[in-house]
Amino acid sequence: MNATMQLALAWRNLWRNRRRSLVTIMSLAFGFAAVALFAGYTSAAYLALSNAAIHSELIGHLTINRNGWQTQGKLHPAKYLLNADEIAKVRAIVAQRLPGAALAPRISASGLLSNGRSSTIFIAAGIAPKDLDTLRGPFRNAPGALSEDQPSGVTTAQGLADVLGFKVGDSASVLASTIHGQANAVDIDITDTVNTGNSATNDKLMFMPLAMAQNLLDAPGRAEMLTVLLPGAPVQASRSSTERMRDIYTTAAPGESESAALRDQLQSDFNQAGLDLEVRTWQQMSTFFRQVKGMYDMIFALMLAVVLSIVVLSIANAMSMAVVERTREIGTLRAIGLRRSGVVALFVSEALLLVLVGIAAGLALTAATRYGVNAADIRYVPPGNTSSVPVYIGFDLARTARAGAVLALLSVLAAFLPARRAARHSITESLGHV
Amino acid sequence: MANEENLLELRQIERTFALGEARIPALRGIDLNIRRGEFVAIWGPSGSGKSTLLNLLGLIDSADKGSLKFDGQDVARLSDNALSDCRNRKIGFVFQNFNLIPVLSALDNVSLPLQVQGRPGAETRELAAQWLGKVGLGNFLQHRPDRMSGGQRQRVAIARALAGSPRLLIADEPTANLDSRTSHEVIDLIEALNQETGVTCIFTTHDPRLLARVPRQLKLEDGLISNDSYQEYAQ
Amino acid sequence: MTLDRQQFLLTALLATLAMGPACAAEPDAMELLKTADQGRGGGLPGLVWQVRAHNSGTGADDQPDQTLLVKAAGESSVAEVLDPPSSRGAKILQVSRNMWLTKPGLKKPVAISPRQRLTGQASIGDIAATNYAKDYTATYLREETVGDEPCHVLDLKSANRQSTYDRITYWVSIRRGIAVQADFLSLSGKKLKSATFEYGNKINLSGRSVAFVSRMSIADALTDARTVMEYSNIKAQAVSSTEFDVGNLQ
Repeated sequence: MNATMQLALAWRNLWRNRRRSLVTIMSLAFGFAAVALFAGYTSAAYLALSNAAIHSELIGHLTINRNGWQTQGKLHPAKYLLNADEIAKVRAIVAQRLPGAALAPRISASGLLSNGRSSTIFIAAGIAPKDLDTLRGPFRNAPGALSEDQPSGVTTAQGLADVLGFKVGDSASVLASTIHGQANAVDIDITDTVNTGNSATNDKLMFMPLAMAQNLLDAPGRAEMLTVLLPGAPVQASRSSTERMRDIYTTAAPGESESAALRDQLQSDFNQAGLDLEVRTWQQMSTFFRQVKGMYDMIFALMLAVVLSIVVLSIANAMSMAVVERTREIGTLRAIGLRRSGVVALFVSEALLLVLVGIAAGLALTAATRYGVNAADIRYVPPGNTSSVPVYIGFDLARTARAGAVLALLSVLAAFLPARRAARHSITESLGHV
Repeated sequence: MANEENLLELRQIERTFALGEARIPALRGIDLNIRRGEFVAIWGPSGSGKSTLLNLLGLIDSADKGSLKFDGQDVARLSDNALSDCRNRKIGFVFQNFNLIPVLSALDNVSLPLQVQGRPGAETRELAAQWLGKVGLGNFLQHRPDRMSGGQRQRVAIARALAGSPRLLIADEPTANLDSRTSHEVIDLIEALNQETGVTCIFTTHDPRLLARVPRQLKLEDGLISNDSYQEYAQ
Repeated sequence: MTLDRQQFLLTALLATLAMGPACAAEPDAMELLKTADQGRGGGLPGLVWQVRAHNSGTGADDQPDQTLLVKAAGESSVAEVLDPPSSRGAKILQVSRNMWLTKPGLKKPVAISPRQRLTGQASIGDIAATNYAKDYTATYLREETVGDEPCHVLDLKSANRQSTYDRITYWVSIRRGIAVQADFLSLSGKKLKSATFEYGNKINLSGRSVAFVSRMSIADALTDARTVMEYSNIKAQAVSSTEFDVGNLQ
């Protein structure tokens, strides 16, 4: 039997029991749509998380530091700091290997913040104001910026300001030990406060200009790590906050293998130049991201399994019933000379058609739901955040396609088995079937 | 009898059915030759094994004992696929309940065996249309079975059975669900086709009036041939 | 001569006269420093004394007064808490730049990092240190009166970039040769702490009677914390070097 005839026959057979076929198609459509929507939601969430890790946590795309700094640096800070000469060399190598990339030297300082009566511990990230602006990318308009025009201006975490009763605009002093162990202090102005959303850091964190930190530590021109931001789509200042939020959910960061390749390239460049440095990708640096992604991946797998079971059972049921109902017809076809494989092919085609129609309907449902949800701008506060974010559903082509393929495969199997059984029936029995 | 003349040769054919614990012998030793182009009617009381014999002749069932040769081949040696192909090309079936595919038009129904043979679409449609014309349903090509009378449906079934130019036409009580006038029309048709194309026709019937029109009458009783009368074709 | 030229000569003469005593007798800042150190125990072979420390300011309520027994020799010192009973037996050892803390019940002494010396007892330790002459180079700034006492004002700069306070402004009494006031500055020049000293004690040093510190008042410049330390029972006696051995601390 040629393919067209087979498909025409399969199509017409689908509508013999209209209600049953419609119900099966609907269960397919809803199941597939659920999977596609969840995949789209998680992929958008990953993108948002990756952008948060890169731009909001200031991890950037790659981190460069002296070998061993990550583990030993706290104990012997002076030994692991990079000096101005090394930083310049790194800048040159990065400019050549990754033209257009931004390089931000960073240094952290900790000590005591004092309001004149009492003092409390602070931990400061030192970074040049314009580097901070570049690194923050889509988040650059959020609170917590530093300004070139205010060299003694710092941003403190909300909790830190509250503990000592500081408000924006107040002045204070910070006390710290230099890298040589001497006591040092500088005057600061609190230009902004920011809620870190993390109770562990919200009463300690501070952002200060790189120059101020270097000054405080008596480490002119030095840095403990360099953050690299790869060139990408420039964030136009003109974009509205809604557009920028959309960017956060849709702009992709370099994936695992791409980042790893860049890291390895830079690493070998540094080794060749005789610089004892190590490079890490943003994925390696952000444990939060990796853990959340892992969790979401697991939930997705679970959901896919549940949906598949339900949908495939639904199809298996429909096909089994169809096979039983058409036993006599099967007998007739066999008598006409259709081979057993031909009978099986007939029902498998029907199942395939069912799946295709179901998936098409599911895709339409997905598109409509996606459009509706994204336009509705539903908001919620995710764990670890203090402000709300919109529910945004993206579209994960790879995962959706894979889910569709698995669905099709399992549905075909669901039709294959009862059809094969029917084909193996004795013809006379089938013909005698009522 | 010379082998090449026989379309079918049965030797000591036995067929037993199991019904729960009981074993029911339907055919208890059939020896039979059917020549090419013969027009045969098989009759007998119910339970005599008529349908069982017909099924064996049509290769949709296989015997428990004995040998059956169809068109010179020992069917016991054939694989299921070979049997299917054989039925497809050489045998045409007409059933008591017509067994047309309800979702297909008359034309598509008749095309089915040709489709299974793998003939190209245009040729198939043309041939099917021709056969429908031959059975007098040239205007009913696109009609679905549910829009046709019993007689018309049976004629479609006959066209379907013969569209592939088989050697053998098997009909199990083809007139059982038809009124007497239509019954005769159907038998007329089969008779005409037998004369015209030389296709071997074997059918079962209860109706003695139909029996009278058939040259060879095989009576089955208790699983054995009790009477095999060959008579000159009587008008 | 014209009036202008007379005026000029007169001014110049006066100026020379004014400068004269200063030029001729600007004291050697380092010598001043060494002498002043002695008043607090610097450069002496061995000294033992008791200190009673009292804290005031925000948060001082949970800091009870403490009595410590201090033994010092050369550039090392060890202070043991005698009172209150809850912290009795705790010791702070200082050997040149290093500082350790131990308490009864600790398996090993705890090394105190520079950051930890920014506040609390450890920061007092840096100030009550006895030997500025070793760690700082002195330059003479000016004369200034503190209260009713004329003083030499010295600018002490850390000699080795290792002392906790990079600079100290030091007021040394001209008459008595001991320091009456000090301001402790950070590397950036910001005042971190200030202290005043009183010398009501006397000790016998190779036959001579030398004035020794009786009270040290330390005020934090960044908060309102103040610590007053009263020195008593000063004895000049040899202190065995085992007293300053970290291994023997417990």
